[in-house]
Amino acid sequence: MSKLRAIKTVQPKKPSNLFLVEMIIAMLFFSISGAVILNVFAAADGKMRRSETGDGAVLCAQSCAEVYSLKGSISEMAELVFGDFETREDGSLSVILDERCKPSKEGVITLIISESEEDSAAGVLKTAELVFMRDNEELRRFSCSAYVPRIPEKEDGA
Amino acid sequence: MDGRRGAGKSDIVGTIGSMLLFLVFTVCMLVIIAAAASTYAGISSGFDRSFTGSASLRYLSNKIRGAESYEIIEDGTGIAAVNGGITCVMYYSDGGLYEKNVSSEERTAAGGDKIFDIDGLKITENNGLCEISVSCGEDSSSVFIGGR
Repeated sequence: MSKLRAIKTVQPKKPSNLFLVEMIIAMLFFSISGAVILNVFAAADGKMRRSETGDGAVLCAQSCAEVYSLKGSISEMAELVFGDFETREDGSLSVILDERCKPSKEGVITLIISESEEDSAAGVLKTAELVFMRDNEELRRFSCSAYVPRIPEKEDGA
Repeated sequence: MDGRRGAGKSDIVGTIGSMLLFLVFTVCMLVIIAAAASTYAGISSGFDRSFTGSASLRYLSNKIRGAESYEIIEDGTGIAAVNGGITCVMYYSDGGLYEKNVSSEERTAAGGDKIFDIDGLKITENNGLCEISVSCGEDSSSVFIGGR
């Protein structure tokens, strides 16, 4: 009996949770890393889209400047370069463009074209201003000019 | 006996739980990798498309602006820009924009060096304005240049 009492009962080993804790910590680390990488890719994608928009805006402005210097009228310029435009209350023109600054009815970028004149004895210096807007935020602003010389009237008998 | 069976079952359940957690983590990481790869592919193709199209358009327009005179050749798929006695012939052929410099009056679309990979080129002249259109894949860009 005493020998039986001397035998200690062996408690069953409790399962260790160390592996689970280690796995959770590793998963947490990889999840945070994945989130950071996704954030970087999203930022790069946004930058690429903004860069594309800026590039398209510059090409647009280039064409507008060339046409305006020849025609001297913003309505002729808009019709030739974009085809479709709207006239606003203040006399300026607005054109709807897509993200790559090409004419589109469902675009997200609005191009506002306004004109000012500077009269002189020799002629009129017309300046057109092109403002690319998105969500009421100005993206780019360009200006171009056209000089319309005044033709002197011929005197009778000359 | 019942205690041992209970302990065995709890071990199995714990192992299955850990495996499930690992499985969920693996699936999430695969989805993240697929999304990142898709985004990168979009960025790369967008960059190729916009760079090639706008760079070739700018190259052509700057060449024409710097020329003393120009002539549209090959039914609008090429242009010959003359500057200082040298004629620069730029034309579209075989999926690319080619360029060659000649000193003679020969203005044929052959024998040039490929400078850009494009899918189409169209040059038209109307009322003193020259319109250059370059297409890369499904996209096309165009620019107007005043006459020289």
